[in-house]
Amino acid sequence: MIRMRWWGCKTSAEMEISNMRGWVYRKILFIVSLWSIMSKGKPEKNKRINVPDEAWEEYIIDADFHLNLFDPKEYLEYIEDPRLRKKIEVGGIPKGVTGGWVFPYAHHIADSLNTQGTALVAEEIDGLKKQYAIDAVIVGPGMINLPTARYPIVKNAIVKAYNDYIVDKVIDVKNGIYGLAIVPQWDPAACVEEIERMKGEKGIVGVQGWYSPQTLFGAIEYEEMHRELVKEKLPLVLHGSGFTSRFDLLGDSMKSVVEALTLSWTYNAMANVMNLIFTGTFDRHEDLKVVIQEAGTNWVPFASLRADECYYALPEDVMLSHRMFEDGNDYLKHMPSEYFFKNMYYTTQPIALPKNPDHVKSMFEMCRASETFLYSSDWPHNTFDPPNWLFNNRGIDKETRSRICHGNSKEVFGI
Amino acid sequence: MVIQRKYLEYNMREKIIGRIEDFPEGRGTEVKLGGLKIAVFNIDGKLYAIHDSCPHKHAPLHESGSNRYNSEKCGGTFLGEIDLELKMIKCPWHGLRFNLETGESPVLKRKIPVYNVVVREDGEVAVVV
Repeated sequence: MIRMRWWGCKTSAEMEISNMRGWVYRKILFIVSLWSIMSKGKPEKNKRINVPDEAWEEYIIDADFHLNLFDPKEYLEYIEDPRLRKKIEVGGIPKGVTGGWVFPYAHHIADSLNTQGTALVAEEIDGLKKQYAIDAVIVGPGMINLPTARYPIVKNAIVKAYNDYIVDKVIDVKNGIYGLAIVPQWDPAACVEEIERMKGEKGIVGVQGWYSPQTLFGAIEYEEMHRELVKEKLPLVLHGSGFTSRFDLLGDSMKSVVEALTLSWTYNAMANVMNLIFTGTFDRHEDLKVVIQEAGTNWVPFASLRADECYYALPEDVMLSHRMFEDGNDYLKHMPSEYFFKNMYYTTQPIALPKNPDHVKSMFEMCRASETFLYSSDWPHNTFDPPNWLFNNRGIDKETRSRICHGNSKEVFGI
Repeated sequence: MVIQRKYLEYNMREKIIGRIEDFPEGRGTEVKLGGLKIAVFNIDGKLYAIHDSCPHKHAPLHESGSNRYNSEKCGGTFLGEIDLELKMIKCPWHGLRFNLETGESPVLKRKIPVYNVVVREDGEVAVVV
């Protein structure tokens, strides 16, 4: 009724309102025009990247930053055995079996692992992180195919050399550069030795392994390593590796990088998380913390709910896993989903945010992002995620943002 | 409606953004006009102005074609890519491509804004916004 009168004949009161609106509208237009005229600008000398201003005020820790240390010459001096040094000098790092990691086809560029550049020593990292409003980095190796390569003795030597190299040339706690010590996961006993060797080193804040289509990290072979990690209060940080390799029949049947990149690492990460939970790893090592890098985040609600659902249906199945059987435990101490949020952390890259900020908020609540997410960039790869998404989405509140930017990283890495 | 039209006519005008020498050939330059971010590319002496934010993750498109960090140690040199022949730029972060003349991306179903550039006789450069 009112609408009909509005479009038909107006009352005098309505005319007054209409005129008032026109006056306000004209004033707004005048102010906007004035601002527009006054703001004609000149090219600005930028600070390189358009990360929002608020990002420069937030303390940001990048929990997945890569060295891209491909040339073994950089760390040859740390390999003592002349036989191994000669092998590595001539043959380089043993090649992993990637079976289809052909980014030049997918990305029209020859070198996809350095799309943003390269940084190999502390000074270079320090200069770089300031460009992206990053205050601290957790440096990881770029040698993601090492687990699938041959020559375990050579690989063990490379692991040790890499760890010595980062202690010597990369870690700089005063400038917020921390590192992860690699463990040779193909040799569980050597993992323990390497943790013991590296545990006292300043700035080593975690131990790096790779989730891949190989032995899962809940395997009983890693029992001593888990014990050592808890004892030394170091998290196990797992990064993707070796997908579409000879070990992964599903991955091997994929025909393009885009297929593999979308899910391959995610399902390998999920398999490791499930394995750690259902083998009772966290029941025996309650304080073990595991960080999953570069598997994305949005799978966490599904996987945790699905784990609970299956556990309801088949609870007695867990008693047949090695640890549970040995310990005489018939059931897990907690529901499977609880371990997802109590023992696990997830780095954010590759973040795949829903378009609707309300959905982002819900997704983050379901993932308990304020307790489990660690910001990460994946610099310098083609999948690079600078921190701007944290500052331009109304689905992410300030407190959650602070936890993701630094709170959770400080907690898990003991920074 | 009359006011709106007047406003548009008044506001669609040339805004000076610098001089021709401020826009080196073969690369992009960042320009901020109030809240508007524009990337100006000089391709063979002709200037193109395009919205300076990739719709994927808001990367600054003006960086396309600039040096990678520590590029002397990398296999290649550049972030993104500028295709001089096709007048296409590639996003410096993840590689989406955009046509500098139309704002079209071969992938996206929409265009990003492009702006006419006017180079005046005295060397002043303006964009029409």
